[in-house]
Amino acid sequence: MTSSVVTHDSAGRPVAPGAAPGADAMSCPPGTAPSAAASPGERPGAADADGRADTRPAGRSSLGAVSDEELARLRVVPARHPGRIVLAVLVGLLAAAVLWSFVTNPRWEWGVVAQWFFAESIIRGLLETLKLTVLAGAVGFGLGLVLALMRLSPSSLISGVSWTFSWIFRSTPLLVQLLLWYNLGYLYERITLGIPLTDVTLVDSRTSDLMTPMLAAVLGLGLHQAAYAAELIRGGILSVDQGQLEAASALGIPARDRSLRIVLPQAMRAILPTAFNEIIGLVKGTSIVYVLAHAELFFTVQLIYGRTQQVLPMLLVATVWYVVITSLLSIGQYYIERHYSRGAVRTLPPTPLQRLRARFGRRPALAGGAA
Amino acid sequence: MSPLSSLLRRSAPSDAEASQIASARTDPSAESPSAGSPPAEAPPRGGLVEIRGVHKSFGELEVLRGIDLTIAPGEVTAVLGPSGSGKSTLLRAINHLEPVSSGLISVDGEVIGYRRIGDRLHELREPEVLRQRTAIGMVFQSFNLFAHMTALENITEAPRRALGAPRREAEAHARELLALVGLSEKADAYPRQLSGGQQQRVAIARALALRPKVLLFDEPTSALDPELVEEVLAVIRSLARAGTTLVIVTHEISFARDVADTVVFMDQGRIVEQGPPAKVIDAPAHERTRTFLQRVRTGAAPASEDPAGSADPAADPAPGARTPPPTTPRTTPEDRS
Repeated sequence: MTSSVVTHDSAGRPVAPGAAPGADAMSCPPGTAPSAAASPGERPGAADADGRADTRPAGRSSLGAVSDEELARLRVVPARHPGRIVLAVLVGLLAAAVLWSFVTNPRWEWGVVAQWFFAESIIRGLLETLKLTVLAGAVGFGLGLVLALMRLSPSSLISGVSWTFSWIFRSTPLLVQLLLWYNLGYLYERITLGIPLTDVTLVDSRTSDLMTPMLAAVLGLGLHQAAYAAELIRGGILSVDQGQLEAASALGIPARDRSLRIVLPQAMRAILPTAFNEIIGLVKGTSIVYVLAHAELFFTVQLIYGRTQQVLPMLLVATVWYVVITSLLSIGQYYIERHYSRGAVRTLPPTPLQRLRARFGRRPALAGGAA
Repeated sequence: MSPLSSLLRRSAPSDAEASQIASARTDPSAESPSAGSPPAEAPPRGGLVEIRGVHKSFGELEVLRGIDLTIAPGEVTAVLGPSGSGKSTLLRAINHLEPVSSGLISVDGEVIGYRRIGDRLHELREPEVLRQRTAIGMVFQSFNLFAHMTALENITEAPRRALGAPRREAEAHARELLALVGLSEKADAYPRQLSGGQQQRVAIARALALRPKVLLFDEPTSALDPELVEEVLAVIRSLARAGTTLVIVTHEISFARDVADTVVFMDQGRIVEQGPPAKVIDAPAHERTRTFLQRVRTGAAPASEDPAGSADPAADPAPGARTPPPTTPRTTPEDRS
């Protein structure tokens, strides 16, 4: 197709007639011109090819024959993608159909959804869900960080303990862990905390008094989360170039600062996307706590539809709230990831908000209103 | 005194204080003398590096086979040698990044990594090793700048964390150092926004921020494009006469001849020969040195001059290639030994 390739392959082959000079110039990017000129120079036919290039501007000409006026005339025509447009229309129609059925099917009972959405019991359940998420997330990622650092310890005992923890808590179902914690009182009737060989006792009480559904839920979710968080934090730490640690120790920077100021901030870039996955999973995962009859969002919804029999609309209430939380978290994720990508990319792309502002900023009439 | 010398001055010892500080350096509990001391007119002091009978093995492989080397204070030493000759390992042994298998390394008489009590060498705990390292700066082949920090933060990190220098003071010194390496306007740039040569100059400024007595360069220009090499070499050249002891592992033969007081040629874990560049580079006594130098020169000339020319050094051991090439003589891009 391209004239430059023809010149490369066989100097003697005729070029397709009717090839416009403009098209030839377009098809031969500027970068290829030197090689097109140099390559035939090693062959006996070089002089021949060069000679023809001078006499015949069309066909096998090298780029050298393009005049300045010609260059100024050249325009780029963007390639068309008809398939892309067809696909976009199809997907758009499909989305509209789904949306339409959501809105028009009376069985969704949007009125009931609206009625219960801000109901006091639902909001109380929602707050309980958020509290569980925050506490279990804090336990999970706090302990996960410790476990990850332990796992990277040169002491095989310390790293072994961390490995065993992850092994146990990743291989038992979350439901079983929750029920085990809640029924700890059956296994150990009293919990006593004191200093051995003395009479000093700090805590002494019946396990069933201590182990509220809330505590069992936080322990179950948190420890389970910690096992996963440990692995993903460790993965992030391993992704940081060893040279960073080496440079830091060569500079005499203490171990604690090496971990917290040099390695972790860089590991964050690898950790964050998966970590937010986990946190979003945790928000919805808290619904499993209904087995402990703890009145978080999902259990509250169950209680209500048990009474009113409006099962689907009540599930929608919970679902929409989960969507809201997840959306807020996703926005947070965007900005936090952006923060930690400092230095990892040459220039940060503008945020959607900045892009919006830039677009409206171009119109002087709207510039004042947008700002 | 030149402004450069005052910038690099490690501490401010009056004659009376000098001995006191010297003894304080051996005391792990003592604060490093460079932190917070006011400037004075004492010249910068390079460290004396002594290497005695150093062996180092990685498993079966013995990479250092008995190295003895004394590097006088303020002297510039260039270490040459083929890949795998152990020159990088030797450099990394000096600041204990690579603990030696046997032998002793000391800077100003202080054994690195160990405390000698009688016939026993007690391994130092990490904080003490870190303290020793603050006197020994290191510049890496791959720069190893902290990617998430600006140039200024890279330079202030070690003084602030390792020596506890106040932020304001560390930043003021960092800006002076950036000016020294010609990058004043890049203080707020992240490493990825800098060219390789600029990154390496920031890395040199970072190593200088601790006002080290000894500066180690591990092939500082090997990861750079040929046209960026000179800007880094120019910075190192300016340090060479500032009084700090420099040890430079390099493939830049002409640079080594230019700047070094002593050239050390290593091969297979041993020092083959050492002496002034006029002797080791221009009139090497050993066959091994001669072949190495010739290979480096003939190998590099076509690469930097004429990409289409014949680039087979083995087929063309031209005697005319005695003149050193103007830019990077490089054998291999990487030499991790």
